Amino acid sequence: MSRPILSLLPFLTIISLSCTEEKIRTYRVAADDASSEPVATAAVPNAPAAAGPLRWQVPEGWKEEAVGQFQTALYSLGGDAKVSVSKLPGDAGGEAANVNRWQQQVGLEPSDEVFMETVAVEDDGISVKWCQLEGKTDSIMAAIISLPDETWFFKLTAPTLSIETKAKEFSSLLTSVEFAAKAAEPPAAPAPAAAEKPGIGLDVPEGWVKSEGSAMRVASFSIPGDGTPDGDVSVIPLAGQSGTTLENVNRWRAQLQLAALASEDDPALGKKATGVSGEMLITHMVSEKNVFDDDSKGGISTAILRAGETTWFFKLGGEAELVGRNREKFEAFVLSAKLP
Amino acid sequence: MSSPRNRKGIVGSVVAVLSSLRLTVLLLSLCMILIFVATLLQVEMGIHEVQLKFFRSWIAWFDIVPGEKRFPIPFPGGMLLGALLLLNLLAAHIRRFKLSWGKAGMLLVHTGIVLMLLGELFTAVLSVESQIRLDEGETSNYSLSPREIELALIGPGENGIETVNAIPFGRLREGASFGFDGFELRVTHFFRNSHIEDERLAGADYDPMRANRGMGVSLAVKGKPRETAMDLRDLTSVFVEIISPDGKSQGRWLLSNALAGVQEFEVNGKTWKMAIRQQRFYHPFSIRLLDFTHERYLGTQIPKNFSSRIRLLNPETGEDRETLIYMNHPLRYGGLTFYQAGFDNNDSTSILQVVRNPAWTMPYVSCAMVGIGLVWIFSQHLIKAFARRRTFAA
Repeated sequence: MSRPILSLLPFLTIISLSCTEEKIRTYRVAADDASSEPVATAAVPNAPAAAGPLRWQVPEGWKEEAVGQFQTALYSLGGDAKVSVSKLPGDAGGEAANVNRWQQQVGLEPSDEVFMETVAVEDDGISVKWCQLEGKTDSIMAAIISLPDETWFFKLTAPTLSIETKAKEFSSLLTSVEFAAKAAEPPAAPAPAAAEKPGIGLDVPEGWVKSEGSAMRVASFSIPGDGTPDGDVSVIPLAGQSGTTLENVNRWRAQLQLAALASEDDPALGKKATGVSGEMLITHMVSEKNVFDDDSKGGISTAILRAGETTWFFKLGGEAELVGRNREKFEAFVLSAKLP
Repeated sequence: MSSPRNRKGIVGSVVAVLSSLRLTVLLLSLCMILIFVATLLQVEMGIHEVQLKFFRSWIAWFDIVPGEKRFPIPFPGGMLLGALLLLNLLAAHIRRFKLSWGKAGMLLVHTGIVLMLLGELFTAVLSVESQIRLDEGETSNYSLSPREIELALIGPGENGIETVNAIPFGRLREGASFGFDGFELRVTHFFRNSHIEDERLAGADYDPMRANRGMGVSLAVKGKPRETAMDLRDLTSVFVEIISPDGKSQGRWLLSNALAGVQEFEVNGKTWKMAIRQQRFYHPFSIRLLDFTHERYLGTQIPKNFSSRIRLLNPETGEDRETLIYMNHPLRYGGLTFYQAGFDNNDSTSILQVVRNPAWTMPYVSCAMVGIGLVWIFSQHLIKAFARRRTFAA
């Protein structure tokens, strides 16, 4: 064979190597372990229920019912209150489509813009959002847990007048949700829950009592109300921007049944206070109507501190007079915050 | 009809072109352009897609018009440029080859480069990368391709053993059909990446086709562009029909790696299972994750070290041993290399990258050859320079 022809050999080798069609592989293996398939919903009340990657604790007294086509679990809480758990692949059409569907279910007009509160955002693409829709007769509280490949919906539907009485149980279900893989680990030595949370340095005013809080809070306090409802103070860090200042302030104003502020009144344009950890925006608001059961007005004081990739929300909520009395204490409290 | 002399003349001029230094310069320039454009496009296409379309293809199509309108122009791809460079180098050597000590350095350098090019070719063609994802305490004897999927058709099991027919992604296309024991599986619709929606929520942009059997009933599908981010994978969806020997369709199923679990159908009284899943690679041994450790630098979230303590069980050889895999310290076993690639679930899940690359030693050998060759050439020049200086001094 002549030398030039020899030099073509590698060229032909490359072409022949890269042009073969993939073959169907046939092999014999041990049957997949049944535990790798989605686990059926547990029927035993108060036992951990699980499906796919998630697992949760069913509160006592809830009765399991037959599930619908897209439901993974359905519970009856009594008094026409039901909690459904369902999952859909991908982003399930997006938040707006789902919230609009729920709005229609409680007799509200669908809107172009829906607001869901971001409760948690994890590094691995998992986020938890929350919304509450109040209809004339029925209301919905719902949490959307977005995983990288699928979206989970936990929805409480109940008569508007009684939904608040079911909210605590629903909240306990939500706080019990965890990943099945993690839950399947052998129990480790119990560690105080607070140890996992980022430690924040705070000068706690006299008279404020540390409260149980929730999984989201890194600090939680209660202000004894002396006959009126107790005030509640929370410190919550959320990843990212977590909405604009105006969106957050308008959400709090909505809780006090106050009209939303226009963009020209955006509190973010106002003066900021400088605390130990940087600049923060402190706002105070009082309701015009009586929003508490004892016909008293409500008040909310808040502070937003944006530090790096995290936004810190400080909030004092309660009866307007109590909030007013604690206004200066709240300001001193938030300005003392020393971030971890 | 051309005479032997003419033929020799044509071959000679082709060889002259193939072995010319001008061709080398032209090919290297084209390589630079290809790398430059591919690097820019990596932002929107992702590294995996860029590698596939530009470097591991014969023709790279550059879409030069921005926006939705497509106007792709052909450009030599990485495979073509690599092959031509190899051809160029070999042709030059074969044409001008003369064995002498003076040329030994150059010969070593060029052989090293040839090996490097061949090493990349063999890596592109022969290497397989997959991942094993293990929770602490979990055991697995297979790894999964992070991006490629397969359609697994699982035959009736016997004594806990199943026969799996894995149809690779490359064979899945609309209209493709595959014959099995007493039935035919026909692909009616194929979506490389897709979004699945409850049909009540699906808009007009969703495909009108629906499944009438299995878990995909009442779900609508629409095609999506391929995922480009490194941490996302495509959700592939396929509508398939099972055709009985009498030519009748048993129904239409929607299979997707977005739908967890397998779907069943019956043929001749035997139950078969099918699913779209990440491509699986079974190994003759299993790995159990005993413990995963993730150390961070004190007071920060910056990772300091990840390590997986695993137990290797091989029933064929009787091996049952523990070993530690950590950063820059992979496990090499059974022709595979296991690297610590990641972690999940609050540090209770370890992700190991499993690489089968028969050509993994070639880059080391080629670099050593190029290095020795360069030292040889420089030392020859140095010796000559010293000799010249001595002559001048004398």
